[in-house]
Parts: sequence; C-alpha cells; structure tokens
Amino acid sequence: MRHVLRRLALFALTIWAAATLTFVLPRLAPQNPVAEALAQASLTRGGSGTGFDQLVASYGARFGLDRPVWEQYLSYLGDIARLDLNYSISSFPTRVSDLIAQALPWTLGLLVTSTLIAFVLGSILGALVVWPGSPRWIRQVTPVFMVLSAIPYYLIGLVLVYFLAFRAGIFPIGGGRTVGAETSISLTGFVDILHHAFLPGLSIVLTSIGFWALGMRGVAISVQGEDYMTFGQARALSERRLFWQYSMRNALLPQVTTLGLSLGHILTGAILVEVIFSYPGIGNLLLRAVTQNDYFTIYGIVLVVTLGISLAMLILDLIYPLLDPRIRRTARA
Amino acid sequence: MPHPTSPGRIARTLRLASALALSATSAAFAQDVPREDTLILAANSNGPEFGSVGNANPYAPGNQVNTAPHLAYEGLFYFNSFTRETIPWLATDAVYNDAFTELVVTIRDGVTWSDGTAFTAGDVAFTLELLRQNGAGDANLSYAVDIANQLTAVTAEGNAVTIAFNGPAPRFLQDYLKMHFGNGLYILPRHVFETVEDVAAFTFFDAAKGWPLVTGAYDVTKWTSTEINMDRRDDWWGATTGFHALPEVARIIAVPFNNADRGAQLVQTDAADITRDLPVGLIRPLVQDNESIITFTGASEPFGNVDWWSTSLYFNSLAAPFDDARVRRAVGLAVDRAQLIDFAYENASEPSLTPYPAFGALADYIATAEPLAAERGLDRQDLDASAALMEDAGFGRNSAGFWEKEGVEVGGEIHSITAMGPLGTLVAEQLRRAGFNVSFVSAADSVARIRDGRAVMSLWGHHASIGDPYATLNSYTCAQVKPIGEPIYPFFSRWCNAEYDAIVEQIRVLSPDDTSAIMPLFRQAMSIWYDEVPEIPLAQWYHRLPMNTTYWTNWPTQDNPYIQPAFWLTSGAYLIANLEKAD
Amino acid sequence: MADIARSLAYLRRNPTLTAGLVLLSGLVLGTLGGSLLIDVSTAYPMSARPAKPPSADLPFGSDTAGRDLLAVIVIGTGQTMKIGLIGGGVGVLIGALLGLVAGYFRGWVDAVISTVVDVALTIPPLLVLIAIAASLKGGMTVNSMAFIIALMTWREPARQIRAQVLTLREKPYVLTARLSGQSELEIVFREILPNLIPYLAANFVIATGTAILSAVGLEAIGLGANNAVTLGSTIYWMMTESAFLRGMWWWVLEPVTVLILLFIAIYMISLGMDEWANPRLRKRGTSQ
Repeated sequence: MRHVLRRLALFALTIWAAATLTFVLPRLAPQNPVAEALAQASLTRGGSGTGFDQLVASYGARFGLDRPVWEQYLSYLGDIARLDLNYSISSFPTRVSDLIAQALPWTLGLLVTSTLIAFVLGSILGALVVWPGSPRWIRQVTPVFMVLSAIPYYLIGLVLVYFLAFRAGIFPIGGGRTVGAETSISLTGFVDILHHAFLPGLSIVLTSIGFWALGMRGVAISVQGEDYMTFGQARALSERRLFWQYSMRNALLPQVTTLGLSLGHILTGAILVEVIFSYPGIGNLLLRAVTQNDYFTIYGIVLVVTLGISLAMLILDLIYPLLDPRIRRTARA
Repeated sequence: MPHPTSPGRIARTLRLASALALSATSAAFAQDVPREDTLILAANSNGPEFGSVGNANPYAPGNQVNTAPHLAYEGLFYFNSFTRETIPWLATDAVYNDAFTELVVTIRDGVTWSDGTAFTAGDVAFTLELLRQNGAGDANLSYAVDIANQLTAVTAEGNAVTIAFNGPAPRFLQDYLKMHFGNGLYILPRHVFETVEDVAAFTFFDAAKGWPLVTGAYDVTKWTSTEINMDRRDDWWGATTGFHALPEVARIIAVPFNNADRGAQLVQTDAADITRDLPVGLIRPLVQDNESIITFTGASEPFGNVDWWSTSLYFNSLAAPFDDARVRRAVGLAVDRAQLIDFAYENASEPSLTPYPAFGALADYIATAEPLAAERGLDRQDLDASAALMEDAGFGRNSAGFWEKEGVEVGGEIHSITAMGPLGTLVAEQLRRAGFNVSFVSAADSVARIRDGRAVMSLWGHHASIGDPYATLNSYTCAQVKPIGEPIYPFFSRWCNAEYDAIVEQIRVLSPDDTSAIMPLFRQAMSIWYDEVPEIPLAQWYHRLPMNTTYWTNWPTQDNPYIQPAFWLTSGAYLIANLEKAD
Repeated sequence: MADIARSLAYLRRNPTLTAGLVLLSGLVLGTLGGSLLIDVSTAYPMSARPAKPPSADLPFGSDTAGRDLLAVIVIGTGQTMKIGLIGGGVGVLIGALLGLVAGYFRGWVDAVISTVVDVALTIPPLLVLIAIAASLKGGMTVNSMAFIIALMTWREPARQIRAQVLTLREKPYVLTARLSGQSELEIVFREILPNLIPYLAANFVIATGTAILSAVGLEAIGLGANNAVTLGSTIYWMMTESAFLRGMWWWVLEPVTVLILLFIAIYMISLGMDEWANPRLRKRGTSQ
C-alpha cells in the first residue's frame, strides 16, 4: 500500500514538474508570443504599422498574457487540473486540444505499430539467439540488428529516404497522406496512409529490433537456468512448446517493464523522424509551436506526452506484481 | 551515370516518388467535381497544417484568411502593379476633392451578397466606420488604428460613399481601397456584423449558414487543418448582371504547401496547379524539363516576378558602432551583390541599389536614385575603401582580424526569418571576411529582437512603395523611430534626419500621380539617405511560382501581366476569375 | 611495457571493444589529421562553386552555399565529438556526484535526490531541450550547447552510480575502513570512488553517445549554434536546401555516414566495456 501511495505521489510530482518547466522555459527569453504571431502574420500585409502595440496588448489580454506572471502560473495550474489546454496563440481560434487531437493519431499510429513490431520481432530474435535449437542464420543476423540499434532513427530515416524514396521512387519522400486523399474511410485511403507511414515506421523498426533482442537475450539466458525449464526438458516437451510457452513467456515480463521505461526515449526519437518525413504528428506540431513561441501549444504537448508516459509507467508499476507470480508471492510473504 | 543535378533526373525522381500516390488522389476527386474543373493551390501553411482554421474574419487579429478563403472576398478596385492600371470591381469610380481631404466612392449597381441581399454603399460605410470606431476605442482589429488616424467620418447616400479625412490623404484610395499585395480592405456585410458584439472574437465561418457571407463567386464549404474547399455559386452577381463571365473554376481546393520540396512534388505530379514560392534550385529543373509547367518568365531566368519585398541589410542606427554613418558605409562597401546573387539565387535575380521594388510604376524613380548610389561608390564592393573608412572612424584590426575600438569588436548578429537563411549566411560570411564579426541568426525571437532594437542588424524586405515612392520614404521618418527597447513595426532602421523629414512631408500631400512634382523632392531626400546609409539595399525579391497548365491556362506572365500571380495576395480573386480551362 | 602488453592481450580477447576503439581512432585521426592537411577556411560559404558533385578538386563535393564539404566533414566531426565529450562529461560528473551523495548518505538526502532523478527520467528530455534551445538560440555556441545538453545526460549516471554505491557501502572493506576510524570523506574518496571507475567510464561512453544524439537532433531541426560547422548543422542545411530533390547525394550521404560510424564506434566501445566490467556476462554469452 505504501508503494502505491509513493507511486501516486511521484506521478503527481512528475506532472507538476513537467508543467512548471514548460511554463518557465519559454519565458526565459524576453519575447512576446502574441507580438511574434501578429508580426509574422503581417509580414506581407500593408498598413503603416501604427496601432500595432495596441493590437498586441488587446490580443494578448485574450490569452491572459497581460496579467502578472504568478497569476498566469496559478491559472495555468488550474487549467491543467481541469485538463483545459486553452487556445493556440499562433492558430487562434483553434484550441490546443484540437491541434493535439489532430496530430496524436498520426504519432500514435506510427509509434505503436512500429514499436510493437520491433518489440515482437526483437524479443523473438533475442530469445532465439540463445536457444540451442535455433538455426545458424539467427546468430548471424542478430549482430547486424544490434549494430543498427546504435544508430538514431532519423539517420536511418535519411538513408531510407535517399535509397527507397529518392533513388528507387517506391515510397513518397514525406507527408502523412496524398494531397486530396481526404479523411473518408476507404481502402485506397488506408493503403495511402500505410504507404506514407512505411519508411518512417521502417526506420523505427530497423533501429529498435536490436535493442529488444539485446534485452531479451540477457533475460532468456537466465530463464534457461530456471528449474521449470529443466523440469520441462525432463518431461520431454517438444522444443517448440518449451520455447514459446516456457522460455518466451517468462522472459517477456522484464521486457514489458523495459518497454514502459523506454516510452520516453521512443517518443523522443519519433519527434525527429516526423520532422525528417514531414509527418503530421506531435513532433512536427511541437517544432512548429516552438518556432512560433506558441506557449499554450508547447505546454499542451509536453503535458500530454508526460501524462501519457507517466500514466503508462504508473499502470505498469502497479499491475506488474499481479502479472509476475514470483513477485506476487514475495509481496505476500 | 548522368550528371547528378540534371533536370531530367530530378523530374524522373519526382514522378516516380509520387506516381503511386497519384492513384489515390484521383480516387478522392471522384466525388462530384472532376479534376479538370478543380483548381488546387498549395497554400501557405504552418508546417504540414493550416493555421487559424475557421477564422474567416479578415480583421480579427491573427487570422490567416489569405490561406485561400480570401478568394471568396472581392475588392472595390484591383490594382495591377505591372501596368499601373486600376480595375474597378465592386466600385465603379472614386474621386478626391482638390485638397485630398474628401473621397467619394461610387458603388456598382446590381451587386449582391451570397444570401441575395443587395450590396450597398451602406456596407462600405459600415466597414470603414467599424474600423474607425474600433481604432479610436478597443483598437483590437487589424488596420483599425490606421483608419482611425486618418478618417473623421464616413457617410453613405445612394450609390455614393463619402469619406472625410482629417487632412490631405492622397494615398488612401491606393493603399486601402485598391486590392494589391497585402493592401486593400475587404468589405463586410452590414446585416451580419451590426449585431456582433465582439468583432475581434467573431470568426465568421459556418458552412451551414453560408458564412463567410461574401460577394465573391465562391462559398467556403470545408475548412480543416489539411484541406480547404470552396465551391462556385452559379448565381454570382457578376454573371447574372453580365459584368464578368462566371469563373471557369468550379471548385478550389487548398492543401498545405508545407515546404518547397513538397510544393515541387505536388506541381510536378499535377496534384497542384500553383504553389507558393520555390527556390531557384528547384524551379529551374521543374520548368526546363516539363512543358506543362511555366513561370511568370516562362522557362527562363529569373523564373518569376518582382515582389514588393526587396531585400536590404538594415542597421539599428541607434546602437554603437552602427550609429556612425562611416561604419554603416564601410559595411555597405564590404558587400558584393553579384556574388550574393550568384550563390543564393544561382544568378537568377537582380541586385538592388535602392530600397524600391523594380516595378514598372517605380522605374523612373529607381533610375533617378541609382546614380546617387553610384556617385557615392555604394554600387560596388570596395574593401580598401571600407577599411579606410573604419580606420578613419578610429577602428583597428585585432588579432583575429576583426575591427575593434577600445577593446570592443565590431560585430553582432544579423537577425531575420528562416527564409532568409541562404542569403543571410552569405552576407555574414562576406562581412566576416571584411573584418566585421557577424553571424546570421534566425531564432524564435528574431522578429522580437529586430522590432525592439536588440538586434544590431537585420535582413528584411520592404513592403511599402508600389505605385509611388512615398510609402518607403515615410518609413525612415522620425515618427517611426523609438528608443531601443520600445518596439517599432514594420520598419527597423531607427535612423532619422530632420531635413529629410521636411522633404518627405512635402511629398505626403502630393498626389501619387504627380510624378513631375515628386521627382525633384525625391532626389533631395534620397541624396540625404545615401549620405547617411541607414541600410544597404541588396537584391530584388522574386516570387517564383510554378504554374501548371495541364488543367488551367491564362496564368499571368510577362507577356500577359494582368495581375500578380501570387494567389495569396488580396488580388487573388481577380486571378481566379481570369483562369481558363485547358483544352 | 608489461602493462601495454597486457592491455593488448586483453583487447585481443575483447574484439568488440577493439573494433569500437579502432573505428573511433580512425575518426579522431581523420578530423585531427585532416584539419592539419587541408585549408579549414574552405568549410565556410563561397569557398567553392556551389552544388558540385565530388571530383578531383573537391573530393567530397560542395553544398549550395559553396562550402567545401571535405573541410566541413573534417571540422564538423571534431566539433560534434567535442559537444559529445563536454555534454557527456559534465553530465556524468554531476550525475556521479548526486549518485554518490544519495547512495552513501542515504536518508532524506537520498529520498530527495532519488525523487528528483525519478521525475527527471520521466519527462521526455528532448522536449525540454527543444524548449530551452529555442529560447536561447540567439547567441548559442558549440560550448553553450554542450552544457545545455548536459542537462539531460546526468540522469542515468545518477541512478546507476547510486545503485552501485548502495552495494559498495556494505562491502567488508568499507565496513573495515569505517571501523578503523576513517572519516566519511576518506571512505568515499579512497574506498568507494576507485571501485566506481569502471562504471563511471561505462557511463561516460554512453553519456557521450546520448549527448551527440541530442546535439545532432537539435541541430537538424535548426536549433543549433550560429556559424558552427558540425555534422548536425550540415544535416540541417542539407534538408532545408532540398538536397534530395536536387539529387545532391553526396551532401546527404557524407554527414550521415560519418555519424553512423561514430554511433557504431561508441556503441561497440560501450558493449566492450560492459564485458570488461562484468566478465561473467561475456562468459555466459559465449557458453551458448
């Protein structure tokens, strides 16, 4: 019970820290996001520019930017508690929650799919490489993936774009879907989205398989020494059954924990992949918000991302004892 | 292996890269309007998405109506900067009194709003009054303070709108009632806006209600972050009254331009008919390899048309050491314009010695100013003369080879927007080689630094004079200058001179058409300007738009320059009305 | 001499470490030697005709601004390594100090530090880095960038060193030292710190890799230092100037290849050091 309470407190603390950081950081530079947004918008507009200061002041008041900083901070914390993400400054009157809602499915779709594929393939590879009965090529191919895992997603992304999109022309150079192919749900639309997601996804899969394989190899080695494996061998269970039901199943649990811990890392890498591929997800939205000093959008993204990661870790932490019979037993004892 | 940058290679790649994607495109257009009746624009976007979605109020701060929905609005007049011709549209005529203190605008008969209500002089008066009163009060609408500073009253009677000014305002008609570049006011429907309490927060978009309610030929039927659809209304007043044929474009689709790479791919694969600016390096192979894609100058340099954003290196003339005209001049002498244009624009641009865009309407003035620059040696790089000036101003070279006085090195950051990156990097490098320790920076707060004077130098464009030199001259007057720390916009030199101001004031009250009276005053003002070197003019700014003739023809070109091709300008609706379907 | 011979013998037994070190030495030699042999001022704009493919005159070709890419890669590799070393080194120093204090003194100090580390590990660092870099970009240099990046590289070392210290402090020799009346400081510096060196070294290698990863990431999206010639800034210019569509393959592949080699070298060294620090791991791995 103490563990649960501590975990919940840590969760709240993390959200508060992330919220405070994102509030303070953009304010380090003496700049007025409203003036920036309006000045950018009027770059090519006529008019003498008189009245610009008044326009900035009255527009800023709409976002509460005319109030003292501590007051802004308090109302910001209040908004967060109510999960109210305010308006976007650079895209007024769009709400930040709408911007995030538009971008999130792209990022999640790309990330969840490619991370799951890498996780499954990597884990199997890692278990197979130390499995006595696995074919020779498994042991030859594994080091290649391990070396690939040293390379950041976006660098592999650049190489893939060069060879498969630019040279071979098999895939589009970037974007989330073809122009005009609108949101209507259809087979062609789905194929189109897959077509665009393939290279960014592939760059994530290629560079993460090795990571999961390495983790799995370590666990699988220790699992093989366990009593139940010896027991299984003694019962003369089939190789296949031993591998899937005993070795894989037991070794997967620690892998799942690692998955939770790596979410932040995975997401960070994905931001850059999105930029490289002009993918319409969270990464691009964040970059845009940062370059336009769109405070509220920056807050919203950091908050949603931190919330998502912390929540995933919290849940993993809390349900882990339920999943793993060994820990459950020690916890009871 | 073929030459790696050969146009054929790039084109082939472009085609391949999007071939598969195209099949999906055609499927999506199958709805009701065929592709050949649809015009697709790759329009201004924030990254892969449109900004300010659903804000069709052209006076709400932060609106991005000019993404495409502005094509539904019409102007009282359009102005062709290539030919200096005024095209009457919602209005038929506008006449000043002799003192330029009153302007009477006559509204065209038979114009109706999209809901069938008649468009009247009352709508025009209402719009101007709305801005005037807002500028005098809340001041939270675009243009409002400008209008309030000039107008005293607006009245409507019959077809006539009478606008009274608080002094001579000979350029009001040109600057606010003729649609050109970013200039020109859109007229609002009085019967919608008179009941709106907070106009600044009113977004004026609701496809179900037919908002934005406009006089133009298109309804905005869909507006999301990735696509805008506008469908033609066949009962448009222009066609029913016989004023102008119904536009041939049945549907306008705008998609996000995102970046030049994507723009080039879209137009190459016929997935867009026109896009925003492309760099020379992309547009050259595009037009040379592809007969169906043209530019304003066809398939030859400079692949585009001059914009009003001619580029200069600005100084903050209040910040030492750039408060010394000798230092500013020395920087000017360190610049090699030909080399800049060679590297930044592959020679497909033109150096500029004046702060004026090279429009036909300004040609005489530019011809007068250029010799003034040449007389002072400001038309060429001269590193020896630059060094001599610096020594004369008391500077010596330090161990790193940079100019220095009393332990303070001459240098700093040149700030600008990201689009200036290629040019800015080169300018900084030229200056470093001449002993000025500068670097180019485009950061999130660059515009803020330029505006409040923390930036000592900046690269910026002029968006002022088009038809006569007054607007640009006016940007260097003492009224525009504030101390460092106080923001100014949109002109940043913080230089002024009382003698110069007096001359500009004389030009202010002259009609923009009175060239013979303006010219001698212009010569005097520019002589002071070149003596003082408040900025270094560098190059003309070209809009290089690829225009695809596969589905649409009659694009504006140098042989047929009927309007600026840039569709995001306030003259966009006039461009659309003149496009013709390809055979 | 005997030491060298023993080291060489060890390297022969640890081919991963050897391969990583050879690769890294090659890159270091390339950037050091290269900057002596060629005119490094050609790494700046207008030094060569723009957008030329590799040739006898320009072995690595040039970019659209007329930078000689051979000079760019030679200087950029060194600068990128420098960011990694400073960013990683500073991070490990801070992290080690925190971990040492937390692990050794335990109690409320440990509670505070551990909570801070736990919280910091949850917030995605690149998001924070992007926000800082965007706020401070005007005036950013290679050095200031390295220090900003150190803000993210301290967290893992802090956690790992703390865990290590927690086990070390219960070792018999530490208990003996304590009984013999050594002061806390003496115990930390004489007994515990020397035993941490392998972990510090391993953490330093990983932190350097992380720092380079973040630096290149920030630079690639245009948040790097002004005027700096680094591999990351080369990637930024290549992407903004449409190197792909212009068919300038050399501009794409050169910085990407060098970076990939650099990351592989760091990865192999860190794997090799794992084997060095935990010989058991090696034996188990090969026993299969």
